[in-house]
Amino acid sequence: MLNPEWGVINTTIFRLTGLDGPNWLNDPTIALSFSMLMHVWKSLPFWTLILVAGRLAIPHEQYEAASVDGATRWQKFRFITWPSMRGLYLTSTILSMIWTLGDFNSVYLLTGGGPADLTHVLATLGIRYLRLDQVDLAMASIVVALPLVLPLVFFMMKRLSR
Amino acid sequence: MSASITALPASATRKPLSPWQFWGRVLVAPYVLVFLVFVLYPVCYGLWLARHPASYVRLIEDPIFFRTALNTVVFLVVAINLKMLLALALSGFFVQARWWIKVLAVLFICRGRCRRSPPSCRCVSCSTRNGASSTPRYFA
Repeated sequence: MLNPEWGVINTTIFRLTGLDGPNWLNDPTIALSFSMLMHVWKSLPFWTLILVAGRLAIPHEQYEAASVDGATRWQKFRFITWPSMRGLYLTSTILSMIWTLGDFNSVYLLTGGGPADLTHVLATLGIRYLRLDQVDLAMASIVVALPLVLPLVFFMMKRLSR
Repeated sequence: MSASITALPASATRKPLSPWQFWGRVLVAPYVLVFLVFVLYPVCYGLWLARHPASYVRLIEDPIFFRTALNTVVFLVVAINLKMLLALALSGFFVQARWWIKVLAVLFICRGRCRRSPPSCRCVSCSTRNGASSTPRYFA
């Protein structure tokens, strides 16, 4: 889709305006933004499902009572939905952080770490060193992520075992 | 008679397994084996490979590393908050009890589960065909 010559986006731009679209993946900022977008697109259904489940667990009577009291939609969200979903939201965010640190596909498939190795994340950096036959550096770059992951995992375990 | 008496203490310390316990252990054995071979061993081997402090020094001296760490943090902060806020908004949309929203919800969830090959294939092919992308550079 993002290919500058025959991707869907630039073809459409050319058809509509006759101009060449930008070379999307050549700018590190845009390339990283698109890999984030791909990650969001990829994992959105799962988290939506989780949060839908969380919303369905809220007793319906609370909303009825709020309607009787004349609450607006925002007030219902602010005083009913959010207080009961806060714990779930935080837990989901932490779990999602742990998984995203290991998420290699959305960066690697889209940009491969390029242009000029400017869009790597820790997971793809490990593979880059592996391909350069620097196994110890690859493992070191994975281990560097541990101080980030371990507190999250620890916090998560404490939350879930409560 | 005397043989059964001398055998008694041994059987008291180590009772024979009930069929449930026996089959439970047999059926869990493949999983344990796979876990040991494909999870525990690679992790330990990786940690063993990363044991030299010198490699960390070289890693930090690599100019790519700082940018990578920054990218990771940006990815975590931006992508996850965006994702969770979108999921929160969408979940509010999908709990509404209208029939077309339910149809849309099923399509949305299936989209996530059935996404397997076509999009990722396209991404791989365009990143390898695109000369500007860096994937082929590693082979050079």
